[in-house]
Amino acid sequence: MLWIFGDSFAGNYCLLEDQSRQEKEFPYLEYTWQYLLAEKYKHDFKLKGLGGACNQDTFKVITKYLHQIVPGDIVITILTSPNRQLEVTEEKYTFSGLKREYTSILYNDDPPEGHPIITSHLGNHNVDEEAKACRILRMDKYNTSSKVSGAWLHWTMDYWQSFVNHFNNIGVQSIASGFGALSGDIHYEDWMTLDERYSCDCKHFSREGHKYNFVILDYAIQNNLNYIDLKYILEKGPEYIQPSLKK
Amino acid sequence: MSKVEDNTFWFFGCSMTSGHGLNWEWMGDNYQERKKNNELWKKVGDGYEDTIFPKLLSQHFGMQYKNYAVSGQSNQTILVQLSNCLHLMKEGDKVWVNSTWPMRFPIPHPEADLLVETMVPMWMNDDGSLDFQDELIPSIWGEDRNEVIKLYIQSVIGANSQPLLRVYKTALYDITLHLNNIGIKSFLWDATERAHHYEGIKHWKPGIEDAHPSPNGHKNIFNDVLKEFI
Repeated sequence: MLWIFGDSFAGNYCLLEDQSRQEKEFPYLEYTWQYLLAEKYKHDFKLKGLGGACNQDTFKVITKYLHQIVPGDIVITILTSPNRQLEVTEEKYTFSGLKREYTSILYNDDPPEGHPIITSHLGNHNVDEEAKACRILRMDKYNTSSKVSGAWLHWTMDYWQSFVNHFNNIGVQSIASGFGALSGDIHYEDWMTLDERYSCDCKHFSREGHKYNFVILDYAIQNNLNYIDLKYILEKGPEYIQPSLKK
Repeated sequence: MSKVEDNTFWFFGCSMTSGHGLNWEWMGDNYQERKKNNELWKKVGDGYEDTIFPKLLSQHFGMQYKNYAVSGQSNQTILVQLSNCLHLMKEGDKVWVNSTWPMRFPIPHPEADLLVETMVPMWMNDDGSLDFQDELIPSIWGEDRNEVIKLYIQSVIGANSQPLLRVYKTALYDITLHLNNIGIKSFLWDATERAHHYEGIKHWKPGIEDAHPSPNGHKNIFNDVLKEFI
């Protein structure tokens, strides 16, 4: 089995009910990087990405499926911005309408009606609200401080390494990607803007982007990498995995 | 076939499992010196290190003893510590995990490149107030620590304890289920539901205001574990 964990770049965000988007941009299943990898390595695949997920969400989803991941499987985890954090909300439906996905995946069963749920920090707050909260805290640079981001990145890498060690131990190959989430301020969205051909109109992968992501992750699998990002690609990657850059 | 003594009994959790008040090994390197600054140690003293239930359990089964529990730490950190050790566990090992009170977090310190535990011990009260266990809060937070941590919890995380407990408890539970599936007997014990059932230091030695289990409390936990889990 090919397991895909992470945020919207790991999931099926573009499958939201938007016919015009599907007509115009959405790469049908056989064009997605998940499908291409599954075909090449002759696996079925399971998409467990959550739109807007923070890394804690992602790791929690991995723990939920830990008992189903068996030797010979491949686990790919799309890590997200360290600035996304858990929050508690009373508003079940404010998170992109994905209440059912969140409650069924993050919890083992639906919480009782009226029970607050945990979701991701950036899911419900806009930038101004975040900044306001930070000012209240006298932590003006809370979300932008490189030191704070660095602390969360360290935490994320430490946690991810736990799964790498465990998966290695049981014969499961595991790769995390995030194109910069762990190597500076460059996140997927920034990477996508390297060249507009990689990006669909909802700022996720276009067909070209899916194809490129397949090439990168295939390279990582072939070379037994446990993590690959834009920094690695630019500094160490062979020519055939270098991205097209915006002119 | 491995011998029992080659297997390990692993322990993860907070002060309930670290043996707070009786055993100070959780303080890490140089704990024999560091404990001397602790007010509780000054009152209780030494001689009870081996009465804590994790040691009783590992001795009972003749297994190696590895205790990663640290007084005051959060569910989030317990989860990461448990995950850190997954690859070291093998068939025949046993794993104890104690989930703790939900209002503890590792929070990025605004002036340091560190995640620092808040060490808030209990639930948030109905009026929004938090009870801090001052001696456990790292000095790095400074004098306004209570205000800063409370604001973080209320403004960024949210003030409701229950869903936070649920989210971490289910994650810890999923890992214990996984371990049980691969031949590693694993237990999840929720301190928020169970701790008050056992005799505390304050009952054992009147005049010392501390609710952590006494040697008798630890013995009772040990007996309950044998009866309920094994």
